[in-house]
Amino acid sequence: MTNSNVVLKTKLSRAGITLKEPTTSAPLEPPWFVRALQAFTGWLAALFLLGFIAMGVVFVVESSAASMGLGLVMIGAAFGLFRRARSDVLEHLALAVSLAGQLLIAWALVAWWEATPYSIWSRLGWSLVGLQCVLALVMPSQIHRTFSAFAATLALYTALSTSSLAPLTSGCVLLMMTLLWLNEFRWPNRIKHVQAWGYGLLIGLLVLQGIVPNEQTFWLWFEAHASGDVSRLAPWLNAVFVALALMALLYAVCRRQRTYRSQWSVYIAPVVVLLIACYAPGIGAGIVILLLGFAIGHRLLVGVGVFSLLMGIGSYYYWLDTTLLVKALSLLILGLSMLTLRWLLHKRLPLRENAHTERGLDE
Amino acid sequence: MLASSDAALWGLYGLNTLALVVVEGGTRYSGWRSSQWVIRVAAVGSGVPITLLVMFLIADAGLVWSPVVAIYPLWLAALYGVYRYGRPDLFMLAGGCVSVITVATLLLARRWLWEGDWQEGSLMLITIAVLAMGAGAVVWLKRLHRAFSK
Repeated sequence: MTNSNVVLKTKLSRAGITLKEPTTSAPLEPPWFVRALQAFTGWLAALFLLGFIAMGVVFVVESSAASMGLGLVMIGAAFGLFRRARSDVLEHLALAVSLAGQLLIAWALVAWWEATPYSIWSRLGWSLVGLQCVLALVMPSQIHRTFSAFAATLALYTALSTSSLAPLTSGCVLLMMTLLWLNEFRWPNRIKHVQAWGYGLLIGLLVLQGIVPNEQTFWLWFEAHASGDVSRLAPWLNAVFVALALMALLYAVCRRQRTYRSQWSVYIAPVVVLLIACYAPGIGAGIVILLLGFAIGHRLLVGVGVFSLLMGIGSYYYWLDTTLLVKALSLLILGLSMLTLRWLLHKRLPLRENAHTERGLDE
Repeated sequence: MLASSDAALWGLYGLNTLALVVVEGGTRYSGWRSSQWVIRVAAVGSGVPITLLVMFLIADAGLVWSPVVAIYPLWLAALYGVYRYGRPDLFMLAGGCVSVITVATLLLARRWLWEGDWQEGSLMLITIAVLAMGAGAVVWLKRLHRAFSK
């Protein structure tokens, strides 16, 4: 028993509160750094195991059917390993085996579709989105679910890039992530699953913001098949997705705090954010993540929202398509309008004492 | 280039080890108040450079005579003695385990792969060795954790 526990127990007994001693002692969980050591050795062993498999079955890569078959077998083996894994070493080993299996399947798909006249990247992207969604639902591991949700985000980006609809990705992922986090406790048996998917989408969104500042496509070598009209609509559709995410968030907040419903300023705010999202999508996404984190009392989301907002502002500032003066002025106007909006909301909205709820201490 | 990076690693190792010794000595004998994480960060700053120095040596020339070959076991022994018996801290011991597993794996890879024939069997043997070392370290650390918690 730790010193703080002893002190607490003494204080309680002095106050006349007797504690019932547990009949069985709770199992002692290993600290995080011991789990990190397990993960480290799991990945180190997996690297050599993958080398062993690659050297032993190099002939498999030459046949797409054999690649597909071995990939499926490896994913099945990973599934079995996850079900039986009692330690982090085996869990991370299973993740590495599953990753190798997914690479073999992707290799087989590339070989199959190379001969078709259609865009290979679009088909590969959509297939991988499907595969990752299935794995995120099926695999009995939190780490794998997070990884699959993250990989699905990147696959979706690949699929949409070839249709010149890449800017849609971040809005779409933001909407899905918002809905997931708002329904975190809706299914009591699947809370951990929802959290894992939410974290995976969050990481994916951050990576998209990092590698694709202001939705500029980096798949320059992909052929763009879509007509110009569709690609021109993409930023607007992205803004619509951001607005939908904000509306879902607002609906959840208004349901909890009914006094907000009659306040017109609550409905003006999303329109302003929508306008900002049209002009600088990264900023809109950052605002939604920040508000989402605050609404559900999730400190990590609040921190990531602040980081995302800073990244959105930074990437907008370094965007080369506009002059520095215009960007500086537009950021100044955006900042001033948001400060004004904040002041208006502060004046108009009814204040409640102790309104802020922390995670785990809900009203 | 390599010499300058070695010098930087030696410098980092020396500075952090000195900081670790001073803070630990001050806490133990002079009643200094310091956060546990300050000491842990200094220990990481000491452990990472010495591990990298041993790894560079193994990668470049194998296990030949060098000052680092003498200092590394002494550093490990000091880490074990102080944080196993003097002032028990599982974090330090876990860090030592990571260092030993990394160095041992590199040594095995050099012996069986670079100086060997790059055979599938060697890769499998290294996999088993890594899993065995990891499992052994975790079992030992969990036992210590139970002992320290009592």
